[in-house]
Amino acid sequence: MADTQVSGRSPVFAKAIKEGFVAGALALGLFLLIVGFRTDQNIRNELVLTQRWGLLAIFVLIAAVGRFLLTAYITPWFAARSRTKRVAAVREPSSIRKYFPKIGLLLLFLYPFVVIGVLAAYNGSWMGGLQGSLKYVDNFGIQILIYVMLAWGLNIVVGLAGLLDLGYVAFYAVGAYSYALLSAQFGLSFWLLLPMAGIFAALWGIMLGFPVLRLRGDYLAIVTLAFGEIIRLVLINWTVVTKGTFGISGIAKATLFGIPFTAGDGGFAKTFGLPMSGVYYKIFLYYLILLLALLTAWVTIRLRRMPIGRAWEALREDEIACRSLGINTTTTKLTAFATGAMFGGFAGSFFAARQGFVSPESFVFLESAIILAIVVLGGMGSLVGIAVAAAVMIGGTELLRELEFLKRIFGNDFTPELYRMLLFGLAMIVVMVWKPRGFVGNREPSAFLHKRKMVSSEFTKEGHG
Amino acid sequence: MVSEVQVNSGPILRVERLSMKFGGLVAVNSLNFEAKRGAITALIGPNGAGKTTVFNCITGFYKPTEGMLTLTRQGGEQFLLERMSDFVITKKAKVARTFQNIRLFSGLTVLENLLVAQHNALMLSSGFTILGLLGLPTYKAAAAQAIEKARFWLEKINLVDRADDPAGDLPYGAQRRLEIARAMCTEPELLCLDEPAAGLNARESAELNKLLLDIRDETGTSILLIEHDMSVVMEISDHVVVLEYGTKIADGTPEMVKNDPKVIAAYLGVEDEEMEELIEQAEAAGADDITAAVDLLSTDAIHELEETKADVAPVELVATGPVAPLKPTSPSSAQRAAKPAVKSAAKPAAKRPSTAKAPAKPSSGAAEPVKKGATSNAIAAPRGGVPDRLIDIKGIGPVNERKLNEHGIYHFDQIAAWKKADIVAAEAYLAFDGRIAREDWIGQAKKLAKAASAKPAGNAKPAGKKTGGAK
Repeated sequence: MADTQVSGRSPVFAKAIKEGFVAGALALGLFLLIVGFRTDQNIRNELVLTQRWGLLAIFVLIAAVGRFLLTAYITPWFAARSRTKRVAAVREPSSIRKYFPKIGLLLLFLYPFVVIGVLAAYNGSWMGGLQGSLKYVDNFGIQILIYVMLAWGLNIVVGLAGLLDLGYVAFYAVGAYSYALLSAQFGLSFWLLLPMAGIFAALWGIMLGFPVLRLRGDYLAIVTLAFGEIIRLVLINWTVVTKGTFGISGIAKATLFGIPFTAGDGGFAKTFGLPMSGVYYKIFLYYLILLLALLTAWVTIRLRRMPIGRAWEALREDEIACRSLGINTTTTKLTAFATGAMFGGFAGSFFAARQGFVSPESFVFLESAIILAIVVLGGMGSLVGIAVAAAVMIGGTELLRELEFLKRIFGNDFTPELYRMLLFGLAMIVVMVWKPRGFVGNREPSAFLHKRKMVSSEFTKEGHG
Repeated sequence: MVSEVQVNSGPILRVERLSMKFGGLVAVNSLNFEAKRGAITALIGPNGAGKTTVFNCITGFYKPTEGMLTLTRQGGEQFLLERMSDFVITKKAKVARTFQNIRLFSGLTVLENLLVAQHNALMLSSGFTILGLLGLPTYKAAAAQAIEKARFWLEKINLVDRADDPAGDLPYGAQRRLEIARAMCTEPELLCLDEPAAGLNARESAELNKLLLDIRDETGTSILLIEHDMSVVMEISDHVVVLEYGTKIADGTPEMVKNDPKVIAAYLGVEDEEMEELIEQAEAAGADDITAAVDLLSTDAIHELEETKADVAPVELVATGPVAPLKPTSPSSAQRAAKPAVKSAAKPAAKRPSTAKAPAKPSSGAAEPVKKGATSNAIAAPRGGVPDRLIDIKGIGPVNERKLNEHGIYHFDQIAAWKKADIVAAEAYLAFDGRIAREDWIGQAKKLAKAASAKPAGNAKPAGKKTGGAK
């Protein structure tokens, strides 16, 4: 290794310098007119040519130096790394990786208390800790977990059965509106409406499934996209029932087995002798969505070991072979649609209970796209990968709101929030280049004879719809 | 040969008047054949003959344009396959299939592939997932049993060690075997294999032979097989059906089929120009049999063959060839068949669909039992064992029918294909002068042959018709 590096040093260096110069020249040619000159209007409406040589020099330098560094250091470093990695690939996964799901689960259960504890120590009072934790439990914890649950639900349809569904948010909307309307009209409780919302969404999944089953791939994606839009437009225009764009407000909150989270007598704080705070409800919601998400995961894990789960994955791999083995692909697809939709419905009713307000605004196509992006980014079929991706995507966008420090660099008229989506998009591109099959591309087999070996992503297929 | 477990001795599959048209293209034309229970039936023919189309009709992937496919299960239950959808055929009628281009679930492990095949049985025992989801012990037992069954088949195909590897990671030959094992895990009564030996080397195809014979003898599963590798077909099949341009041209034991001049011509092909040349020569020489002319021409062809040594394919077809160093079932017959094959192989470009016209079929291979002075298209035995009723032609009585049969004429299409020289030859042994032309035997025979091919029990189509080639 050492020898090759010494002898390989100078040619690589020379090549890097050469490529650096070429990149610099190219950048000069490209940016000369774009960056180097700028036309401005002055007060008398005259066109004035401003020259910006300094800025041009910076652009050219960045291109030249960047190219030089890439060729001289970064590429050889990656090559060396992949060489050692190939040798190391045979090793057992490290213990952190092995126990990651368990550790992660423990952290998730402790999260609200850790946040409260840290903030209490920081503020010097319990109440300060409680109030301060509101943002972290609600904006980060609950928000991320809703998306984890939605993505795990969609994972059944997209990751396991390989049916590209771009209208998943429709089932989320069905769940949310089921709860909102039924609780407003009939005053039914959250615990009764939660399963009902899931069942309604599953029925909608079957209703969508029937006409689109003969479609595959791009066509299926387009039809599901249209379905999502139809549901949204119905919600907007059927004003008699849904109140249109005004949305439904004042939705009943969830209760802890009949104990409401209110300030008065019989409320949660009074019953347990705690000081009044809005954070209890948030913490309750946090654990509720955590349990719902875990239910999704548990059902997914169990179903994968059932014949139906294997049939889903077989469907993703090869539909014609499935039919030749006597598998009814129609019902198999429908069950995938219905199961995925059901979890979407659960998440929707939770969302309605948490917000206390639903409107069609919450169920736009972007939501579907984000959920799908989480599934793809996490690695289709992998629960851990998807959870990590949801944390990165949703937590990341929330974190990017906190870019106040950038104001110190770029001045006070700079609004960092506007760059949130740009950074977010860049990060997604980087991840997909770095890991094209998502964070966890490997597939865990559902049964084994001798030893459980992960199936490399190069063999699994994405499905054709 | 037939396994002892059999109770029901009727044919497992009866194909009657099966036709499949894709727009103007007739892929399968009024095909009739039977697959015997507990036997291996091979479906062979040149590329594009419609073999895979027949398979797709049987397994429900295509809906046939016409015809009836009757599958009779062990217990006597009958299924009309043309009315059932593909997965129901596997589920209820117990027909399993493999594919020409392997269709494994490459991202699932080898074991999982075999478990997916047991889907329907496992679905039942898991109470359609609901009971299984609750963790009831019945499902656990069934799942363990399914794994045991998978292990049994993995042992059969020598893949136990690789059970936990992804199926896409297996070498090609192992993937072929796994596909067969996967089909067997559905517990079929009829196993349809689409070119199982394609791409296998000699040792692997010998293993495949053993596996297929094992399946037939131990499980009593009937096998229907499409194959180009004659070492597999001739070695293991009990019955062979030959297709060309969607029409059955021969049907019988491997021995019968490989000596059938039509089959040889279909596989080897005879050039059009050479055909015309042959006929001209024959007419010029006034010969009553063009076999001599074929011999004359083919001496050149043999030289050409030896010189170029291009594809040995034509010989391989009949003589179990150099590709597969397996012992042919009976070397003598193979050699005998090889001789006329080489003779008639005017060009070694063999696998091309034949453009042959019927009378050019070399008769020497089958000519032994036929009396001297026979016409060029005489055959040793009636195809399918049933001669046509030649007395239906006006002018042919029982005596003449017997005489014709003695000279190797059994079918209308043979008479229909007679040329001038043949008429002279036939009139010689029938002691007729000009009656054949006067009574228009050929015209009558053509009509009757057409009618016969349209009837359900009809025999092969008029041979002269297939010159049209694929549309």
